[in-house]
Amino acid sequence: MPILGQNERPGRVVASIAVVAAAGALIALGLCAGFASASPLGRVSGSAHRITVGPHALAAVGALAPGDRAERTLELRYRGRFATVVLKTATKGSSLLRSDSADGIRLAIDRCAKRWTKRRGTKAYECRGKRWSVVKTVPLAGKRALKLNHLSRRAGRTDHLRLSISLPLSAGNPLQGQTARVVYRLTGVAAR
Amino acid sequence: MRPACSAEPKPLRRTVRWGAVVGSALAAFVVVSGALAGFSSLTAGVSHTIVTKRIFLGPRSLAAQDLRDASSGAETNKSDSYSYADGTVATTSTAIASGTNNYVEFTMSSARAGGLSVSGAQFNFRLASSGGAQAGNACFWFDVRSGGTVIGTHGSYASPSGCSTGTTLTTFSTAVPEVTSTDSANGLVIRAYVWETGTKVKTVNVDLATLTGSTPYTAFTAYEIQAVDDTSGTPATAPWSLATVDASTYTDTTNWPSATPATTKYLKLTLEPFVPTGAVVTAVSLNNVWHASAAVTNGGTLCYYLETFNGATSLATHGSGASPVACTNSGTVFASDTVSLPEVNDVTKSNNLVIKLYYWLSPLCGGGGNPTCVKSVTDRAVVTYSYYLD
Amino acid sequence: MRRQIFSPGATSNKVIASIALVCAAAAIAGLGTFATFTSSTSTSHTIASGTLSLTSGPTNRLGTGASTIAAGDSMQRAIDLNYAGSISFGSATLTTSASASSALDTDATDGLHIAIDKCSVAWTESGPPYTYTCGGSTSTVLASSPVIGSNVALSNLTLTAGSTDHLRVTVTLPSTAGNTFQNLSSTVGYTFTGVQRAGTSQ
Repeated sequence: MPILGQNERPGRVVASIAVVAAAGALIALGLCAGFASASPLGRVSGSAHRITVGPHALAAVGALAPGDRAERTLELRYRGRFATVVLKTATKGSSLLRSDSADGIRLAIDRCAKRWTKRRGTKAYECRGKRWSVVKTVPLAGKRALKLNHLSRRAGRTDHLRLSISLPLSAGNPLQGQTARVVYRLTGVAAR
Repeated sequence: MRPACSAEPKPLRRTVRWGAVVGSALAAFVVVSGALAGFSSLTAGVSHTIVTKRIFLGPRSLAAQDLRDASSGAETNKSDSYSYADGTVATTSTAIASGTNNYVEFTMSSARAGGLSVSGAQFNFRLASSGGAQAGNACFWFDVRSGGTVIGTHGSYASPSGCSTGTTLTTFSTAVPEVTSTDSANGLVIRAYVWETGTKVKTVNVDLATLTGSTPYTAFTAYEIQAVDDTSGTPATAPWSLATVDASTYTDTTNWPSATPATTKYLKLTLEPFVPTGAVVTAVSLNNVWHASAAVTNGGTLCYYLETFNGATSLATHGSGASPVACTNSGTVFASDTVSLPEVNDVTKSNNLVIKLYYWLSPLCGGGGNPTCVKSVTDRAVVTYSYYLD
Repeated sequence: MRRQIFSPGATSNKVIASIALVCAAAAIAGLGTFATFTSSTSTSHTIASGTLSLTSGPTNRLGTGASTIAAGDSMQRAIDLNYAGSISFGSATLTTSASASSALDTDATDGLHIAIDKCSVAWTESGPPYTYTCGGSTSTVLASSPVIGSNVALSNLTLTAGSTDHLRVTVTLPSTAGNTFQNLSSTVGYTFTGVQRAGTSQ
């Protein structure tokens, strides 16, 4: 409900709001967030939408050979409900592991209804509950954002995710001794 | 190129797509030179060269073709008549005219190391008419046989390989290029079709029948160890007495001394092995197959000791008057003695080897109650040389 | 569409203030269309591929040939294989070829043969001519085969990254080699190739 200041000419403000509404789909995403944090009204409960992933630092994956697979588990917590969550990966420095989309590192993400467990002495995780494919195997190369499917995205929930990092069998000798520093950035769009 | 996995704003997607194409194309180019799948690693190449000996170690045996009989105290030449152009001839059994296809055939020794190439092979033949009234000239043509197959033919009745004049012995050396390896030179058979051109056909004297040639490492002369005289139409085999154990033997001219050997009385063997320069001689031994010319009675035995020489220089003695190499009292059963000659340990000594065998009756012979003095019968006197050439 | 929202001036200030109020109100009202909040979080690590490295040495007598060998002779040469790098091998093979060739390398029956064994500790060398004794236990890496071969499988190798195998290569000219093998020369090259182990969970 628009709040009109005194001495304002209603037509102008309405027109402005209409512009805002029309452009909302494109610019509101960033615009309102900025306003929310800078709002002179202080924080409102909507800005409490937050996703957090743990741990903040994953164990390094080392000495991968073609055909190898390393798994890391993530816990994704929601404060507030989210409409979508996307993943973007960024690499510091270039390396064939990352830039070779045909034979470089691949990534897959799965979700388990329960915490992922690991039997003693093994390196692979198991899911003792319902399981979903969040991201099907894709090359780590590429700067697009990946939409994460089958997340709960529900307030107060924790999604148990498993990252599978693998080097395809087709990777050849030029991929030996390469290192990539990978940042996994998950961004959630709050649901209304 | 992989399609994008989720719906994205189009400009962003297009950029990624091109990047992926370039990236995978580059990756494909780079990866092709490596493993098709997975990592591999290989050691830097290391190589080495292996070279074999020029002549493998092996035994090469030959008989003494030069035999001197000093059983009387003075040497007489009893060498193989075909081996040396020394005027000592063998005469064909039958007077033989042209066109008969009768021959004298020679089998050469197998004294060369095998597997070596031969160049410059020649058949050396020395002949003459035996002469007489209305005698003519001696002529010949010949063929060369290996493994039972004729490998070369030289001359013909119409066009002889050579004819000597009258009774003058003449040597004809004919190239036999078909002999290209010691494998064929060893045991080579040469069939010489000889004839005499006289109005009254005569026999033919043959003074020499040898094969000469060269391996890459030495020139050599190969001697005959068996001749077959077919001039009568029926082949008569005449082996060189010292070459093989067979019916052909050599009996010395004079009874051996009584009680003690005499340094002036011996059988002398001269060897011509043509061991190549640089060869390493590992072993030399003599095989002497012999018995007494008649049974030695009354407890006596015929004995011998031997002495080796490098030409005229004494190398070593084996046995002595007090301790003979071997004795026998048999006039029929051959003793076969193999005497190792370690003093013959290099190429020079090998190629200049002379062996004297001093025979005597022990304890004494002649006179009442004593064994009769006897001669020796030798069936084989062959020296085996083991050597290799690096 | 009017573009006042992008123009400086009093009106735009008021527009901006209005937008702020709209956003706030929309958030309070739970209107997602006007008030879309995002939250980001991140985690990171390094990913590294390993290296596979097969090297020979420092013990390596394989570069020393042999001359004036004869039928029945054999030569022994020690060589160490090191599985350097961080990835273990799954298998290793030997490829040999002759750059200068003769019946020594082309005759598969009577020509040169190769056999390889290994010692659990470094071989004790004597010579030249080199011969070796093993102070530990030996095992067969390659049974006697013709010297020339391509990607011939090797057995009983350790293959683990960081370890070394002490090999002894024996090259023999069979005693059946006849006189045709006299005065021959062959130059044989040896390349050991290792392939990584199968993929595994890290």
